Amino acid sequence: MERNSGSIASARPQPVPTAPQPIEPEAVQPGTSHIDMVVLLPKPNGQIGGVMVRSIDGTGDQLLLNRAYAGAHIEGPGQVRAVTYDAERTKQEFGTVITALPSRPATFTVYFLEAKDELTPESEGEVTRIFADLKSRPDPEIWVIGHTDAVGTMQYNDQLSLQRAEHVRDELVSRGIPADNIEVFGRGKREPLIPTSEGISEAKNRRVEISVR
Amino acid sequence: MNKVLSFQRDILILGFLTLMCVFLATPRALAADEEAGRVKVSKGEVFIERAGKRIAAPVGASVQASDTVLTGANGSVGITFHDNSLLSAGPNSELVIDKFVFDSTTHKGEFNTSLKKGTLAVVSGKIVKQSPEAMRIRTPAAIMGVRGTEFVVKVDEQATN
Repeated sequence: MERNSGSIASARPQPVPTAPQPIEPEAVQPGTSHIDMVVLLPKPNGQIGGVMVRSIDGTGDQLLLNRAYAGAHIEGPGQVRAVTYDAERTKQEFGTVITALPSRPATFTVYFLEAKDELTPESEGEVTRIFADLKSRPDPEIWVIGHTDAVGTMQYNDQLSLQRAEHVRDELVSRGIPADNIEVFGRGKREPLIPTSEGISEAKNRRVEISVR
Repeated sequence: MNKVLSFQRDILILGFLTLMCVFLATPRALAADEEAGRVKVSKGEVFIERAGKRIAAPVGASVQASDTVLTGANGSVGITFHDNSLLSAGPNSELVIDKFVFDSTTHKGEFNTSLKKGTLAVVSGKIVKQSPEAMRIRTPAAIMGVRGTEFVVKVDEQATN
């Protein structure tokens, strides 16, 4: 019987038929058997921690996959076999499911003018791109978190950070993102990007972080 | 006297209605306690089986632990989980969410799924970053401990006749 794995270079040799056939203990369901496969994808810019593959019953060797296109075929107890895929073969066999992956969660940061809830000119120039990304996502879940620098009282900065976050929220809603999908928080001066002494003006701390998944 | 009592009752009712409005206005992300993730991609036939009932799973549908996600011959589905793990299933797939526990403060948790048939793509999230192999994928023949990566899985059923 020709199996799907037949075209792989390291395919397991087909068993020589002998009579009588023993009952295969690995048969998962009557009338069927499985060749389960796993293949690592290349990661754009991250380290690959890998996947440890074991036979379901714990017998046989375990196999750590930690390179792009490293794969394993698992067929019955203890039979974990290393195989190597390439980009084309992976696309052929897994293209549809890879295309169905949701957009990667992301975080964007925009900066504000001192003591105001107005964006800096640089951030003003970036919001179109950021908002387009957010809007392109189906059913985006968005967290908008406002921050300030260390100038002023706790109460003043709590208020200012919330105003900054609400300003971003209102912009998102005006561009068609449902308000129900956005949660707004103000963290005041509690979580500076650049830690400073009390009363120090620091542009990088006057910001709003927008996280989306 | 009666008037005062009825005024107090009105205040109570008003307070109750206000509370209801606040409750109903709570963002969905906070409202759905048992939600583990949400459908972000839904093409063709996509269903969720929950407590013996089969429900459609369009974009925005909640996915919970112990749900089974099913796709038809032209179906595919992509789900984003609360720890930022991403899972997708291709056509003719059956994926069981066995367990999803995630502490959004410590990022500790456990995420177990079983691919009964079809294809699966995985992008690991915060649970794995915090505790390698706290995410496990089962297939009929294998169990995979995820240490942080992106990968695909296929269950090929072969008739043995």
